[in-house]
Amino acid sequence: MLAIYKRELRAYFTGVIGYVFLVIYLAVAGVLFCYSTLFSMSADVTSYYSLMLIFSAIVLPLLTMKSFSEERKMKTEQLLMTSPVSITGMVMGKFLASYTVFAAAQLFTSLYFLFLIPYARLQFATLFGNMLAMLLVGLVFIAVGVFVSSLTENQLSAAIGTIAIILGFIGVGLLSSLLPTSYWLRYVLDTFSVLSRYQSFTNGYFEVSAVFYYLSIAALFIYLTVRVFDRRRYN
Amino acid sequence: MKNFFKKMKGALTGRGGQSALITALVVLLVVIVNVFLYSLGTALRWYKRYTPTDDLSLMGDTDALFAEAIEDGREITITFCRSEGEMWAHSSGKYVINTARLLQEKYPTLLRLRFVNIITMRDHETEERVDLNKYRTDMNGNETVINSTSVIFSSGDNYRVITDTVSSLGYSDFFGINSSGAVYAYNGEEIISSMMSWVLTDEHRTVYFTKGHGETADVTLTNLISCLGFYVDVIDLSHHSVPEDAAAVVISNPKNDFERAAAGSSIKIKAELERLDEYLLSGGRLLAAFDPYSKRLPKLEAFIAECGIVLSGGTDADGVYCRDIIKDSALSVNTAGTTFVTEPGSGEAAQRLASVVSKYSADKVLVSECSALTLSGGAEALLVSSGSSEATRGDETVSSDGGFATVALADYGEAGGSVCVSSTVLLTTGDVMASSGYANRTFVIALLDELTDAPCTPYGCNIVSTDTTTLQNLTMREAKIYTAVILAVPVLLAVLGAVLIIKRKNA
Repeated sequence: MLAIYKRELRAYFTGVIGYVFLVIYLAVAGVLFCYSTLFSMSADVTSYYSLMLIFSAIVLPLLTMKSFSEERKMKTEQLLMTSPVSITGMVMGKFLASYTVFAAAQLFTSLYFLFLIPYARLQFATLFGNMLAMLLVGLVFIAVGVFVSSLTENQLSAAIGTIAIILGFIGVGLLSSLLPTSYWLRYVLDTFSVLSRYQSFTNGYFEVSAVFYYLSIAALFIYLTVRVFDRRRYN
Repeated sequence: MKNFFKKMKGALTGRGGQSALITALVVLLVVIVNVFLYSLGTALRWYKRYTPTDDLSLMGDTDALFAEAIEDGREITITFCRSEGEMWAHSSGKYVINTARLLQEKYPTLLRLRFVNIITMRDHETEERVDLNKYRTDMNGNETVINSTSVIFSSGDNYRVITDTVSSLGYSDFFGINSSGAVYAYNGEEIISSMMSWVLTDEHRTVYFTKGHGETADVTLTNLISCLGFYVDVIDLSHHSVPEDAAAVVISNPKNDFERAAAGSSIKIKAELERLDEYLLSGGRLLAAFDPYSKRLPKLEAFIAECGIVLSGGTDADGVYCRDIIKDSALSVNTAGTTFVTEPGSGEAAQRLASVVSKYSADKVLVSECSALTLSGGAEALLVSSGSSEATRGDETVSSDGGFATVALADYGEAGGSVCVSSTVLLTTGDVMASSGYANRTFVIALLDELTDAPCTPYGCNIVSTDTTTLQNLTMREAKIYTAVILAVPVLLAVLGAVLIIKRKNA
């Protein structure tokens, strides 16, 4: 797994995709930060991270779209499946490589708040809470991206499919407030809404169940990716 | 056992319908466990809140206020109309009782706290009967409401009642509340210290706000004047002369002009400006704040111009009269440049105020939407814009000289009267006065003390701002510099990436 992880990480920066992702991520995060804090005269952490959630939903698929699609397109996935690495190790290696790039970018953008220290009483607990929430959300988004990427050899289809699923997760919470159906259905929808779980962090609550939710959904999609390759191997 | 695990592995990793079933079961398990944990977490409160706790410690310079009273052995009683337990359990009352207890610990011989059951009128601790009915009329004979949110300050025959009759918050007088009804700060230390000082003072003068010209009075300012030991009242100068107990007259944001008696009139009719003139010539004090965007007030402005303070203005390119608005890009905190921090003037009074302000605050005074004041004679600038500021009329710049006066002070007559003019009504807005990032509150206290010799000056009291997210003292120039630094990073990364990729391709 470590070999796959290192290889994938290197591949991001020997090719263009890693730089493109980082440049876009840092540029847009910088603009959002300046707009929501410096030019709004506000040190409100939550508005920045709320915007970053939506932005991440759109840009993270860029990072994951080539994870398995390219291997399939270049017909190199056979090599991967016959290598001494387990399928789980292979999937985890690629997942962790994507997550490392995202987490590094996310942590770097969080340093922007240091500029605000001389001008406001920064609530570090809220900042760390929001950072943790973004990192957990990133786990889910990347796991979804890796899963969708394993289903198709077309990178664009992988990106669009990932965005659709992610927006679906985000939209579930909005849908629950519109549906005039039973309380229990809405309760279940709220349970699986990325937005409502994310909002508990932005509202200043560290919820154990929310952490489990993100970890379990990420694990589920990684499991599903492993199942896809397992099925493909024996087919 | 080995066969069982082999079969399990086969089921999980095998092909066909069996593994699809397992997959479906795994998904269902994740759903069920998440719903279960979410419900359990909500029911058992498996969460931790990470909001900061407010620092309610005492910070005010109050020893000097009470030193004499402590020496004389005087005593102040603060009566709360509910039990101490109820105060601590109350969402806003707990702040008030916390501050009162801290003050009682600081001045144990001076201050006593009492908790009275408003129904039985008995002290919760001693069960003694307490007559609250005498507090239903204030010391001026006006009716006062006493309810469970009342806080009564008393010392000897002096007393003052604070009752929340307007807000569902309870104890709202101890908080700063903006026009939308939102709480922006807790101001208890200042209010309680001021009221303690109030009841130790036997005579109280009154600050009169003029009326009849569309004036608007900033509630933060009126509350602060009250904290300084004055009564606050309104006066109609068209019918009444300024009373002898007046500590000052305030003209706050007038929309219509004042009246002056016709020149050469054989009938001696006192008009408003004559009454004002009479008051100032007897040693009175006038504080006038103008909105630079309001219409011209020729008679009032001419009256003020007689002591050397003129609100600059003229006709713009369209022939419309407008005031000269100060724009200060160097020290501005908004993109338009019309909200900026100021410097003290160079005169004696300005330096006196600046030294008081600097004793309690390292920050500057913020002003917004000011017109430039032109000074002559003995008039002195108290607050000025920076040297790189400019005065604009409409879209044109009329002067780039910088150093424009925004608040000025001038003497009036020989008996010690004085006139203070502010070319903005936004010196004393609630959110700025509550901000720990600007020195506005300290400056206004010092200014009012300079004008009126206030009996109580609650400098340095802890104002706990509930709005912890507003950036203070950040100028637009600094914001642009930070933006450039932040956006330079992806640009540099793009360049670095391009160089490395090209190098690799060529290698």
